[in-house]
Amino acid sequence: MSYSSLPEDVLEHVFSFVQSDKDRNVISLVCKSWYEIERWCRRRIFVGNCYAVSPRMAIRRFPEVRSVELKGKPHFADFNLVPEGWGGYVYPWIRAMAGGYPWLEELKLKRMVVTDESLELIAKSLKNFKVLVLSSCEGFSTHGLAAIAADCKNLKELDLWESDVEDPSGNWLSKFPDTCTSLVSLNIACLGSEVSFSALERLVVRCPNLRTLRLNRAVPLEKLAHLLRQAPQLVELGTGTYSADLRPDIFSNLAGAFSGCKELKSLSGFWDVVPAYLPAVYSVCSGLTTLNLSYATIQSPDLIKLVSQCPKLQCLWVLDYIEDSGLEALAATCKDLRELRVFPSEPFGDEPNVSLTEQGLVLVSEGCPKLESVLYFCRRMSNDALVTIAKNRPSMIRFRLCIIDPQTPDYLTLEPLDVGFGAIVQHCKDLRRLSLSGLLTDRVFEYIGTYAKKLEMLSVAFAGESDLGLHHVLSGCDSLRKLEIMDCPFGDKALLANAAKLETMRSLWMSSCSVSFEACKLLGQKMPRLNVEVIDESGPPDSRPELPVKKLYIYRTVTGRRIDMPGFVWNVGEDSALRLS
Amino acid sequence: HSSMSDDTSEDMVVPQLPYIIKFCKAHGVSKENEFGKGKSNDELKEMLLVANYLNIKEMLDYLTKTLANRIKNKSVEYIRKFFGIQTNFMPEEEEATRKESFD
Repeated sequence: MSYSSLPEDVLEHVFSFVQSDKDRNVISLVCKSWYEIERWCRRRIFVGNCYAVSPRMAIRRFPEVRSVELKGKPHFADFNLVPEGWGGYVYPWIRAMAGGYPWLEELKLKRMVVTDESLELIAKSLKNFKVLVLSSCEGFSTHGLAAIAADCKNLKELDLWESDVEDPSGNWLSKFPDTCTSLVSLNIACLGSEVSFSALERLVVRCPNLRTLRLNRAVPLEKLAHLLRQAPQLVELGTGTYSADLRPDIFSNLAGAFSGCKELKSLSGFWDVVPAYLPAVYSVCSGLTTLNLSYATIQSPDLIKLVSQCPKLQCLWVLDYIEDSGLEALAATCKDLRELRVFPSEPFGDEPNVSLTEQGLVLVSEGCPKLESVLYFCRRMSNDALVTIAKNRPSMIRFRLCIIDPQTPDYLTLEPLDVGFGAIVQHCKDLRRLSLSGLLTDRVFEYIGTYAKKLEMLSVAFAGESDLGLHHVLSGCDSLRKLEIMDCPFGDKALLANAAKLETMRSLWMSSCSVSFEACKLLGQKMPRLNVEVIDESGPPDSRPELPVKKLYIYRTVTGRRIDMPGFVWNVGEDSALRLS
Repeated sequence: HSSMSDDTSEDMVVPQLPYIIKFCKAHGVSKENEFGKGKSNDELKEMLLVANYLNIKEMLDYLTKTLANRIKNKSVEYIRKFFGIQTNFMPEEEEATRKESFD
């Protein structure tokens, strides 16, 4: 008796409880009838590289999708390594979905170029559109936002997380009609210029389900209390500028407003913090689970006072002003902490400006049993510290260490940090994401290839000695999906020997390495289902074949070479001729 | 119901009926967790077919959820074996589907 005789609607019911893309993709491969059932009932798709499949392909295979998530540029675009005009345009997808997914409800985009035209097309064509998330996107202005505000009658969420928005006029918020009462989440934190406060207030007042409100810096602190009193049901709040003249009436008004917000779990914003106003939030600290202080230029004592009142904290983003002493307080108070990100206050300074060392991270790893995700900028590290951290927290899932000066050795022994990172991958068996830094030889890659079997994303800079390093990673990391490398002595041999591996990954980025143009051509010819793109702004790479390629981006795709490459991107493909744009 | 046209499934349904009756009597969140435990794949399937036939919504929800949990985070080969399904994909067809990166 076989399960394939289970009625279709029962199978569909079972599938409805299986939501992860990975599992849905597996289900669709079981047999032809499962493929058919699954494709008709898939409601959300995630495309990690917008060039890996075509929108037409997506619509044809999954006709009833309601939610689409797309990512465009490679991650290193965050560090300005991807020149402007590289690509990642969402318009072709939106044009296709306007016809193919008329009932689309959600669109989530990351690192894509979005135009006002795209936003206007969404507003005009998608009658049930509810959720728009634009994370680290660019190319659009408040004109496009005005179209969304005006025409998306059922809009629930508008989230402009860290996007670059042109702001010719400030009045787009007033384009939300008086009949719009459906907003649940509004994040405008990245907007540079003022929004109309009265329009904002009216919007907040008429949306009783508003749970998330992230204001931009231009919203003055004096007006925050007023807004909070209109929305005491808020769960997530991003303040605007957190500075004002020191006046007791402003303070008591603000403190009173915060104390009325009984549901607040997440706080962010805090630009230009005046420490005297921090106690205004104390009344909500006991319930806080997320605190983003990455813009808050406050010193350790004030940070300690704040953090010590947040025993339920699960996620903290903070500047290195917190110092080791602050992290010690964090470790003592926040036993539920899962994620810690410590950003550098002065990354380009020569000397440390704060007393934040490896000790802070060690203390947190000791005191916080649920810690699983770390991003830590610091100036010194030791193998001992890394080994301790690894042994303390074997359940670590994401570990990104950024020692600010490249190739910094263990400060105690002056040795490479191979052993320390080796301990991380050996003890943390579920590690999915790793960023390396410091002085590292090929040995660290041998550890990674041997132990990091669940690793999906690896970021490397200024590390390794030879191709063997790259070979260890490509041949050993069974779960690898994204690999990004800069300034490492990795070249042709490892790349060509592991060509097949690249088809099992989403993408590989290599810049300032030692890969020859010839090897790129060979790879492109050998692997028709890879796009091998060379980025070179100074001219055609085959005009100087003796020099290594500057930037290389390789990704798997079923759609062949893309048609929107700018002049400085060359697809070194099957026909072995350079495509001139 | 198309599945009920199969004779053997009717015979197999009977052993699981007591469990289903017990579930209906004791229906409550805390008891639910125990019914899936230790039930083999075949037993689970029988219960699923009965619940579907008798249209017992809560039991159906619960059983489909249990089944869903058993197939999460598994490989294609595991699921085929678990369900006793032979693939009818041609190797090229399966390969082509695998290459489509909806991930």
